Amino acid sequence: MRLNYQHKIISILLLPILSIALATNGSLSFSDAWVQEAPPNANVMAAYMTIYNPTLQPIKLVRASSDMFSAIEFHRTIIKQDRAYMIKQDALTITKTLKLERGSYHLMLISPKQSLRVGDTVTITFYSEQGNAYPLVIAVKK
Amino acid sequence: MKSNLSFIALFLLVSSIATITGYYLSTQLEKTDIKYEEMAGLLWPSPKTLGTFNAINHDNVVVNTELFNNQWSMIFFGYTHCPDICPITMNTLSSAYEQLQDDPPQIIFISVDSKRDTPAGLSQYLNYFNDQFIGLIDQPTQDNLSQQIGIVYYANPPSENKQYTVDHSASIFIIDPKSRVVGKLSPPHAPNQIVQDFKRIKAFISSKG
Repeated sequence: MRLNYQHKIISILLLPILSIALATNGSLSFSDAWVQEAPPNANVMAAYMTIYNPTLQPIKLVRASSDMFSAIEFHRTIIKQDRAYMIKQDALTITKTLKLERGSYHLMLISPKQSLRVGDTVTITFYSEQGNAYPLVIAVKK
Repeated sequence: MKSNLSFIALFLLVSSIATITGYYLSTQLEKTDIKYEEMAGLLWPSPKTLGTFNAINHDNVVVNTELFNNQWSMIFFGYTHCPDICPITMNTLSSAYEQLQDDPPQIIFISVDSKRDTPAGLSQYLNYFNDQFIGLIDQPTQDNLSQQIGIVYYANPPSENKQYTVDHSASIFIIDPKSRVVGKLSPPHAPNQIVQDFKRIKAFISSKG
């Protein structure tokens, strides 16, 4: 059928509704993700990344898991008066952007099922409070 | 009589002023002589001499102050279950060590987690960063190395995954060939900065004889 004037008006009006829907569907984007290579016998490894939340509402990641590790915890390193404190985080709340980086927020990847070397990849899935899952494939780097 | 009293009062006043001025000047003179205060990380003029500490090394041998005799050492406290700050610092020390090959110091990693870190585990862990690195396990005894160097560490309660983290000093300590703690480098650490600070401190201490 030919698109008439009314069809076009309706489509244009639908656009903002569509964008609002997209803006609040819980989408997160991950960039610069990497797992730091560790000594072969290390029981823990660290993962870093930048998480960007394009929506208007903060997104709270309450846990993460991977087939490659027995457990994953969120931690934050804080250095105060030359002392390093490692503070476990119950969740990661992303308002706009959250950077997980060395000396700061990071994932503690516990008990790797196999020795991971540079070039290997692991899949880590984050879960939000809303129940959305965010799977991520990350490479091991040095 | 009255003039004597006035004289005594005046004398006391002048001598008080002279004493105060003299003391002040002497402290000022001391200050102008001290340039080492500007040197980053230098612990001087009273560095702590390390005494017997009975640590276990990565070869499962008990070591003491002979470890420090006649060579320079750099010490970092950490533990192998540390995912972030410890591997980062060990990588940094590894890079710094590469730049000091003309006269390399000993690089010593002291575990603050004697419950989980074993000599064999420590050896394998450190080999990854550099096979020349030395591992020690701080013993839970009085006058152990950490106490003598003056740092404390704290094991946090375990998580539901039975993992615990240990809060600890992030400084790098420099020990001279006379087993004295002569330097304390503050984080954040970078290889070039470590090399520069170490060389400066070494030159200063060596000039003192």
